[in-house]
Amino acid sequence: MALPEFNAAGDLPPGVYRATLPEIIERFGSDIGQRGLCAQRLLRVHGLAQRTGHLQSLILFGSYITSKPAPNDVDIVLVMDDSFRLEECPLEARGLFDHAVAQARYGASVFWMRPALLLGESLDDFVSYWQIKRDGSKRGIVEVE
Amino acid sequence: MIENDQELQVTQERIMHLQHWLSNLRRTARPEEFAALSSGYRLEIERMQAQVLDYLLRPIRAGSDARPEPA
Repeated sequence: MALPEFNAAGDLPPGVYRATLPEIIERFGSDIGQRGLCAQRLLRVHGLAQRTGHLQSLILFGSYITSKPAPNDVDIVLVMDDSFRLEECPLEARGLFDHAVAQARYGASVFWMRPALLLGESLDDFVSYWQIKRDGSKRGIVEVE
Repeated sequence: MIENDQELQVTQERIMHLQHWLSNLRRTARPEEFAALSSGYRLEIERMQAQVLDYLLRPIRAGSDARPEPA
């Protein structure tokens, strides 16, 4: 599904949209300013996660995928496959999986999960949660293809 | 920053949701991964709990519609 236009609130309409990294960078990133910085951080995080060999999906949520001119940072959920073993993860990527280290080192707010760890809810339910805004309404999020 | 009672309620619900995830992760996560895995959810809970307290400790302004009339 192509990324839709922002709604009146400056958000993507509720839903989980799939897009490639180039499409995401073209739509939300830029070469300069805070958006450019966030784009670089996203690329770095995605590269590190992918090189673990166990990245199932990367979900983007938060202000980076809104019309906000200067997003705070890039908010990411990593869904790792169930054979992922943190202790076997390449050293270069291990910091990605500690939230405070990821924030300090990569400038990204990173949460992660493995599908088998969920109890009583589907992976779709888990992913859908990240749409919820502070006022209880929902805004769209993006899954990297 | 929480601005009103609706946002307060939503934040409290989100805290409960994350605590529910943590409760499940205690059971399902491997010991080697639990500390790292839980770190994000813990920090998010703490952040939202601080927002809740900031809101609850903010006095209601005199004359505000949110202030109940004296009995």
